[in-house]
Amino acid sequence: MSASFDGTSKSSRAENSEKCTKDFKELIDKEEYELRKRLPRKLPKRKTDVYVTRKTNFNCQLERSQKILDSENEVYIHGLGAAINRAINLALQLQSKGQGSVEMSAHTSTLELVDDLEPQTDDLEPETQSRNNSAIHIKMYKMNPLKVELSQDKGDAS
Amino acid sequence: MEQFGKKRKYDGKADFAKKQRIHEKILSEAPQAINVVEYAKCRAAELQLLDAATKQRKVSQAVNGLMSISMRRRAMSHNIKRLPHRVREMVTIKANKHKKPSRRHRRRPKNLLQEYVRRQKTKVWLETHIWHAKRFKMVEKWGYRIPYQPTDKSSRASYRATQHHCQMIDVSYMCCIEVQGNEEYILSGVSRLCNSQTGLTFGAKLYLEGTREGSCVLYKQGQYPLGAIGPVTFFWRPTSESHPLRQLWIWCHPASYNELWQELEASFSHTEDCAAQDVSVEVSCPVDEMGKGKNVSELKDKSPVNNNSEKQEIQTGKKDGEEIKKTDDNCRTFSEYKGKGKQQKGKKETTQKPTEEQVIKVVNRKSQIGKILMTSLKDRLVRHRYIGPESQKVLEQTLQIADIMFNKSEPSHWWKQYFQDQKHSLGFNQQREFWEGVCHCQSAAELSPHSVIGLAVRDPRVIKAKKWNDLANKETSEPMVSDDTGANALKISQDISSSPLWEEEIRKTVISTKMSDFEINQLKSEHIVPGTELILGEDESRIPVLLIQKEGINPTDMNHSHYGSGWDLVLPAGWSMAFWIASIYHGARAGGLRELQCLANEQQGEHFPEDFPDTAAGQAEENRIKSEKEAEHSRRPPAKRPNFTKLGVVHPFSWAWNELVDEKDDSKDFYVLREKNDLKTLRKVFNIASGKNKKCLKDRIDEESHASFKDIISRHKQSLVYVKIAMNSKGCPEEMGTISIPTKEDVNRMKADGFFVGPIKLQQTDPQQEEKKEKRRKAKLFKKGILNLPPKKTPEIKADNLESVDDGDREVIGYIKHGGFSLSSGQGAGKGFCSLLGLEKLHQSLPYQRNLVLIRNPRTLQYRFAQISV
Repeated sequence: MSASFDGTSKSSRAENSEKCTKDFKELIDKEEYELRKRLPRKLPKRKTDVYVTRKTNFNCQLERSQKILDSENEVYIHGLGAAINRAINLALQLQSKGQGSVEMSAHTSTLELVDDLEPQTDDLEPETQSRNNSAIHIKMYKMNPLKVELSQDKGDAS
Repeated sequence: MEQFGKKRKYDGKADFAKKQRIHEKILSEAPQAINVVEYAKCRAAELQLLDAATKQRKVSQAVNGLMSISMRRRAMSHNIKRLPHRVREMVTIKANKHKKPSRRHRRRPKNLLQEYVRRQKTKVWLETHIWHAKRFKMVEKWGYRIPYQPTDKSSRASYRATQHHCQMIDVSYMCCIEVQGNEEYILSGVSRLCNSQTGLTFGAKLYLEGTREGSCVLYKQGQYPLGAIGPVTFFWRPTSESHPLRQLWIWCHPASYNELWQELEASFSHTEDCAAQDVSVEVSCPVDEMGKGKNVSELKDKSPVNNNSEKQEIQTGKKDGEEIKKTDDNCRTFSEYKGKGKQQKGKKETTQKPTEEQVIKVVNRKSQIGKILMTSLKDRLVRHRYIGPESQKVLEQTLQIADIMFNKSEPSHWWKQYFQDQKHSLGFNQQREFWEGVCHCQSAAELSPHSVIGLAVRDPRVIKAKKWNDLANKETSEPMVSDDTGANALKISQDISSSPLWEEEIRKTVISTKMSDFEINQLKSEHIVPGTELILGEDESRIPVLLIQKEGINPTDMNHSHYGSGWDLVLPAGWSMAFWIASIYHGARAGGLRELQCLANEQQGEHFPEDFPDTAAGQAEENRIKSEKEAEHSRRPPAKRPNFTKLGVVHPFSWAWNELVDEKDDSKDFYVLREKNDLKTLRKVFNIASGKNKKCLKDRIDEESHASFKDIISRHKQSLVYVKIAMNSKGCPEEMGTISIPTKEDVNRMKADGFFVGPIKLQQTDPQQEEKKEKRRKAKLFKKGILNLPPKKTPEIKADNLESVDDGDREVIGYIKHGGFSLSSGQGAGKGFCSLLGLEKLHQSLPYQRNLVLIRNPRTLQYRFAQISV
């Protein structure tokens, strides 16, 4: 079964070296349990939040965050697990596009993820397994939004 | 009249049998005499018919036939007096048909109700029918009138709703069967219908606690793997000390309901070793009794199995007060009629409706088998399905936890009684806390799958709905607070899953004490500050509900994770409309049956009954589609429809599953492989991730799984395997398309040329085409009167062009059940069934590309490459 899961989990599972998870891994290999991942806990989504995934087209994500940055003057980019690289890449690209006008500040955190282990036979109890995964939250904001707007206005006028 | 001329009468057929002996003589010489009486007798009936046919004509016909064109006038078709006198009486006068009464008359409450009653005679309406009928295309299916699709929304909109918002679908037509009895007895009976190899069964530890909803496919007893009935979902009532007997709710589709009921009865009577005893109560009582103000629930109480006399007394006590209420009820609104219609009838309504008892033909279907009691809860529970990430928000707004605190006065309400019990009220508090935790989640997929939550909620009609825009903009505060009360903290327990909804008496009381919409609206209008919520205190209804989590699809490489997650809301009957409207106000988007199908197609999951070809319901559905497609095809002129003989499609309107499986033709029965372990092995063999696991692709499958693959094939020769299809390049699979094995050359060409989409089939010749053309030409000439010979009817030779399934050059191993453009993956995708033997051949011919197939749609000669996964 494990072959069909995406890379996010595999890397995280490799990181995990707790004993209990190993036990579960054995059980999964023995085909007594099937792994089903729950959705990671999300925070309430605002207009300025971008959750980076590995499935969406990168250019599309870039464009979207650029749009938010332009209209709201700030954007929060969140990346979890294997998508951290992508989130950082996205932020750097935004910064270089901004030509010095965009600042960023990054926070890292650890998220607790929960997997459900679904028993494959009638006489087994359901189990859950929790593991930790790292996440990054990058705040991108325009350095002096007012100034930039003014200069833009001037540019428009001329 | 020429056809009935004398000559023909002489060698008439009526005399033929009788005067066989002298037949030759008649031919040779003229008859001597005719027995007039006998002769006339033989033809009397025929003549009568003819006479009647000529006398009775519609207006338009009369004008056509009876008068010359020059004498015709337009006004004749409307006004009978414009016709000449001699013609007039031969004409059936359209005008004497009953004139349709005016809309104003028809829309009067009384008449409208009567009309509604008439329209429900042959089918069952959902409680939200009126609401849906205004906005949806309705179809009649499985004895119900079901909303099919919104008239103003496309399927793309519904996809958007399920992916980003909240789609709400009324699935109240799902039938619930309650089984009551000792746990062991129930299990021994029910387990005869399911097989542990297909997954978890009723007796799984996971489900026995009653905290989770399970699902499985049921089979007729002793016939596994043949004889599938259909998929069911089920959940147990959590155990408690006060109820030593267990209760089990089995939810099935109405298409398989009757079959399942009978099969359950048979299986229980086998294990209990006694025949099923039908103790159902027919509620279709005479009208005058209804007029006395007895209502259905009261009549239901007469059921012999009702041993809960204590509650009954209280209930009847309540009803006295209720009847007073009902007297001023004759100006109810219709939505409310729908809510109440099945359950109670006021005096005035019933006396004026002679056909009333037709509607309340609610048969309290019950049967007692030994110690087990089976009750049908069909149409007595409502089920709404909420799909999508926003469903969390919508439900949070709609379901406001009721207040059950009360001063210890006399317990007049059901909830006071129920929650007097310390255990129940503690459980209620736990439920409230749990639900608050759930509300903090952003999506249902963050919770443990299939969990069942019981709640008691407030009447949604008294709560003011927030404006739709408020909902979207509300969550702007609190940016990055990481509250680590993770979903893991939300542990489901039996207390959380228990609900008063399980008790029949409470369900009835909740329905009968429902304040009518009229009353609520009146109170609202009298309310001092309009637009704020009503405060009714103890008079406000408390409704027990059950929430069931749906987890969506398991995340894999191919799909977006958890697509289709959401909730199912189970309510007592009569409350559907109130909750429906409230949810709509809170931003849910309504959908119908098509949306359910679309969701299944996007998920590439199996949807009953379409995707269960081995069940009776599935076959009925296939037959329906076949006749529909055939009719559609024959409606078109020959030049405008595809010639399937030329295209080489043997079965353009149906799926020939039988021909896929019978190699040696011992039995034509086929079945769908549902054994979990076997499917797992097949997955190992056939599911090769496209880009990532190149290594895996190069490897041959390891010996172990290869051996087990061989083993599976030897065991399941007659089986079909459900496969998902994803296109390699452009194009979409279509219904009834074929799945076939590519040849070696095809694969080589594909490797050499990146733009090669697939080979093209050689066009077949149609041996009958010339014949058909000739026939058509002759018919044309005959019509013009040039050719006098009537076209001879040659029996069409259909048996000739029945080819074998071998599709000429590329062998067919399966058919596409459904296909189209998948919005989630952005390319053509579909689902279908392949025979296991075909899969084996595929594996043998292409060991390195074992999931590569060619698909061909019925209307094209072009094959296209696609990938299958089990």
